[in-house]
Amino acid sequence: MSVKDQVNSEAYYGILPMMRKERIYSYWDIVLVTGGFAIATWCYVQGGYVGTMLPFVQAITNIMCSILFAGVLIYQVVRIPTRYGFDLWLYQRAVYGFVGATAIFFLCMGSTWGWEAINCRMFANSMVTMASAFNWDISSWAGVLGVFCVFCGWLISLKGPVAVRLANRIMVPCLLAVGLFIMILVLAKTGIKNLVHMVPMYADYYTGRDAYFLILEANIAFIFSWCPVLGVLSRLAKTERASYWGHMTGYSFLMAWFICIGAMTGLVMGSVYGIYSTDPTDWLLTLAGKQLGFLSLIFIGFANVTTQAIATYSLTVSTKVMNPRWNYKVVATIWSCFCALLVLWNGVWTYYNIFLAVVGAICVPTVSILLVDFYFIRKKKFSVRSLYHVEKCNSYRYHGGFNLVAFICFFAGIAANFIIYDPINYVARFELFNIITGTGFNAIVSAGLYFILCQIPAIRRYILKDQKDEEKRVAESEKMSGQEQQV
Amino acid sequence: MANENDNNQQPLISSKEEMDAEIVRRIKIMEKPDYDPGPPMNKVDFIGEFILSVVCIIIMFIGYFA
Repeated sequence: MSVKDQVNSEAYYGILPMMRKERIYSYWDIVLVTGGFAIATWCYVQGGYVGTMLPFVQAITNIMCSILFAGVLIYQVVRIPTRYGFDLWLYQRAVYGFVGATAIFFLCMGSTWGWEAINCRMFANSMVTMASAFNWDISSWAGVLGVFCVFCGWLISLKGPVAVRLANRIMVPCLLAVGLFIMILVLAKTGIKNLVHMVPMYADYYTGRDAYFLILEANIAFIFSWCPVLGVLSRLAKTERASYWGHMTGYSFLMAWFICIGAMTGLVMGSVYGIYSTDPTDWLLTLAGKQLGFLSLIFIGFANVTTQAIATYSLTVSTKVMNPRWNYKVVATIWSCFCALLVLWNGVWTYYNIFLAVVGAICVPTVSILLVDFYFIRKKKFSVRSLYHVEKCNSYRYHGGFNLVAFICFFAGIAANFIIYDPINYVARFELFNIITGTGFNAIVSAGLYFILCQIPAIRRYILKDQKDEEKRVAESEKMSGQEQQV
Repeated sequence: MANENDNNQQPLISSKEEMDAEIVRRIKIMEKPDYDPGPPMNKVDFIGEFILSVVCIIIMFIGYFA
């Protein structure tokens, strides 16, 4: 089978409702795949950032518990693809309308590519650092090197799923080894007792309460940014239990563990060496010395290329689920060019706080409205035929393909987020932020408003048109089969 | 993402018409009363979720005042 056939096959089967017998992933399969994707250098960026603001105990409890707690809520959505066998983005057609779901998809996906830009920037940094070990200054080429990482990832992704799976098998052990190596180095250099008493670098800038909630906000936004890919694996899980707890372990627990390693190292770098850095290449050279640090940089460089390949492949196949007729290579190229622009712009890296806030603000209402719609408004009853637009079933047209009510709630959530939190100056605007955070307020406003609006009879009829259409369709098909029997 | 096993079991679908026909065929199977979508999450899972949430909130409070 050619690469085109393999990819088309994945995209087409990516859109078909999966029957129970075709589902292949057990709990451990989900853990390995989600963990493999989650454990990337972006964990160190997030952890390093936490380590400059919070002391050890606060950092660890904040990271682990906020990510696990948010996971308990977010992964309720993975039960939908597991039960019905289709990607979550297909269900979003019921929520946002046939065209609206595509718009929200590109909004979420576009923001998600920021993580890949960070990954490529890491690759560039590790190359610059390695070159400087040989007294060769190539710092002005950092942008070009980042684009080179995008290019390598794109090239591997074009080789199809087999090459990408091979890359995954190489990347995960590399990053696990680097992570464990950094953790051992930090503990050996400082000891757990000293680590507990270390003062973070920017402790004076914020009061304890402000810093704690700003980091809580960042961690919740970080975990919500998985929302574009939550339906990919879950539709292939054998049971809801395997799907739910598998995602919880991979995307939450394992990722949180690596962010904790980053936080420990960021704390040591700031308070012992006085260096502010969220970049593991700096950490490795400072903590391990030139020889070991150099070796680890090779691992990081290689892992970043493979992460990029996996991300390009996965996100392109996910995009094709929106329309399987789109050409795989064209979609991969467009996304890679977009990522290259983000790398050259370097804004995601420079304005990391703002990037996190934007990702969180977009992904939080996407998940919150979906949960309310599925569990409380439709109560698990919807038209699968209308989701696929087959047999002339088209209940999710709403207004020109957009569910206006869902969009109003979506933007209300985003507005609420930025009303109480200012990501540019990185401060809370209202005291409410220090109780429920910006993303928490976003979730309450978007989900709450959607629930309240859906209690209004006219809006309820507008949203639940699918149930009336489905009743009509069943009645007609029963009538037809009765006539056929008479004939 | 489907794996190689799926590709071996099923013919390659390459047009919208074929895909729509396959979707309808599958929906009809899934609508049958004897179709088993797999076990849903049970009481033990929900208790686990509840305990995990409570423990996380308590530890976050402890961490905050640490």
